[in-house]
Amino acid sequence: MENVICVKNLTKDYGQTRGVFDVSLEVKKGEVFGFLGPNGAGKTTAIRHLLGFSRPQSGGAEIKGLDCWKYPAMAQRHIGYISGEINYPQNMTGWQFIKEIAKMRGIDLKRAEELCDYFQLKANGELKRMSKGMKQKIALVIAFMHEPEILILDEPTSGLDPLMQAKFCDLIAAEKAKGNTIFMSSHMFEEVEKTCDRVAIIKQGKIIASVIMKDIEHRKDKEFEIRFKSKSDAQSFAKLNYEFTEKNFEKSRVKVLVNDGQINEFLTAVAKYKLEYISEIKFTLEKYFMGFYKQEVQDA
Amino acid sequence: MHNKILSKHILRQSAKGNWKLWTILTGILCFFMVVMAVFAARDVPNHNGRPVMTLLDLYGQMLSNMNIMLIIFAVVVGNKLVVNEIDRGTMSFTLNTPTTRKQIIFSKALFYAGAILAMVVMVGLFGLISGAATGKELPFGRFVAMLLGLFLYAFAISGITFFASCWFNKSGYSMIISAGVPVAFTVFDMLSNIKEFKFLRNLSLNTLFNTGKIIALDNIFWAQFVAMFVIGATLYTIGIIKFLKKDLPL
Repeated sequence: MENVICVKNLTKDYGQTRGVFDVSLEVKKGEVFGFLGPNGAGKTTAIRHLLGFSRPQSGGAEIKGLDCWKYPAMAQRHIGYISGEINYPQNMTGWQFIKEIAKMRGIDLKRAEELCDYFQLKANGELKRMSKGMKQKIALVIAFMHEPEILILDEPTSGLDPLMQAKFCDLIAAEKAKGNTIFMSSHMFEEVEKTCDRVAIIKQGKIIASVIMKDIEHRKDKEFEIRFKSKSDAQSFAKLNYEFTEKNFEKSRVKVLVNDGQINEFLTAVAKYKLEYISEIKFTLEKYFMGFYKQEVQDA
Repeated sequence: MHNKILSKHILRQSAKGNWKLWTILTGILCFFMVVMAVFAARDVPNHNGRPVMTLLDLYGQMLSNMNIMLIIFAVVVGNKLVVNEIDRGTMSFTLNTPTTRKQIIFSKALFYAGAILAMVVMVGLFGLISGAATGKELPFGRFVAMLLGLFLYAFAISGITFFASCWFNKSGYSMIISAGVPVAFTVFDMLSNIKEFKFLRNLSLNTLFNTGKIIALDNIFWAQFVAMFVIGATLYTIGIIKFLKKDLPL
């Protein structure tokens, strides 16, 4: 598959470790790419370069092979964009503004109407009187209404209630099914976990990890929490040759990492003891991310 | 489309967003033109039996005092057109259409200078009509030269605002420069009437729009016109280049 978004050694230094430093990433056609990081990590800076708003200090960004700084308007034709901080012109209704943008793009309003229905949005109110959630919905309609091949979304679900967030995830899935590419930034693990194929983690302007979501879901190492009936059982079990992540004898509890290859042998060993319960601790993106985060803190 | 230099949408939006202020300020200026004509028609003679001031004198005095209307228009609209859209972030929507930065800025500059020109033309038309209606003599050539001077003065002032609006990303900074500089010019101009502060007239743009010199056909006014045009054109050009090259915090 061709790469539709390509960032090569992008550097933009705003001083005091703000900006992006030697960031490289590629997003393939039809992929949903998550850009995850805490506030101020450089997500928006990278996105500004993709849209041609910022000039790279070194390196660069390309959309469908077009240099984003040199040919922003040509690249923007393929893009639907939601900015992280949404503000609208004053003295306009939502629908007037949607119509205005549609006119500038030379498109009809069929898809915009569909999207308004989909998000249960009544856009005919004054923009300045709208709640954050409604403003976000207007932005979603505007970003999706010209059916762009590439969607660049900076924290797209902020302000949406859980029901609308779920609808948003469905919409992303539908766009992916059409073969469109999605690049979204977020600081919410759950949203990224639900929607993305691949996630890059950015911190202080540097990409510190990149992970394919399938690898996390189908991880071969699984963590279990076991609680024994007695403290002595817990102590005796803890002597076995497994990789323990936690031993809490007060509560007669241990946490242990088990590879899929060891699972039968492990279960036989466990069966010799009297248990309160055993449960798998789901490995989440958050856990993965925190692993990196902690390591970085230790390194620093 | 992308090699076109203007966007009809941007021109239309600019007109839609600013016609009210334009109408009010132009209305005030035109109203004063009519008042001046009525005043001149009363023909108050001095002891030599000739009017103290001709209609052209009155128009000249009115326009050099009321140019504040043009400054208000320039400052408000100039900031609204560019820096406010960047500071608020609304320009990101415009740029997420096939509209280029070039089209945005050239359309806005054209609208801006055009609206100021239209304001001066309206004032001129009202001046001519009121003069004719009251039967007062109005030397056409000198009146047109006066209007041209007024336009060039406003063009230079709008250049300051346009430059500031393109240069800064924060409305506050742009507002300080674009309102502060013309106000400083006016204050300098007023202070320069005091003997000790006469040198301040060299620091004020208002000195370049001197209706007295135009009426007296003192040839210095042509040089002043050229100077105002060069100031305005240079500032517009720098503003446009800056806008095309800068990072937009959108």
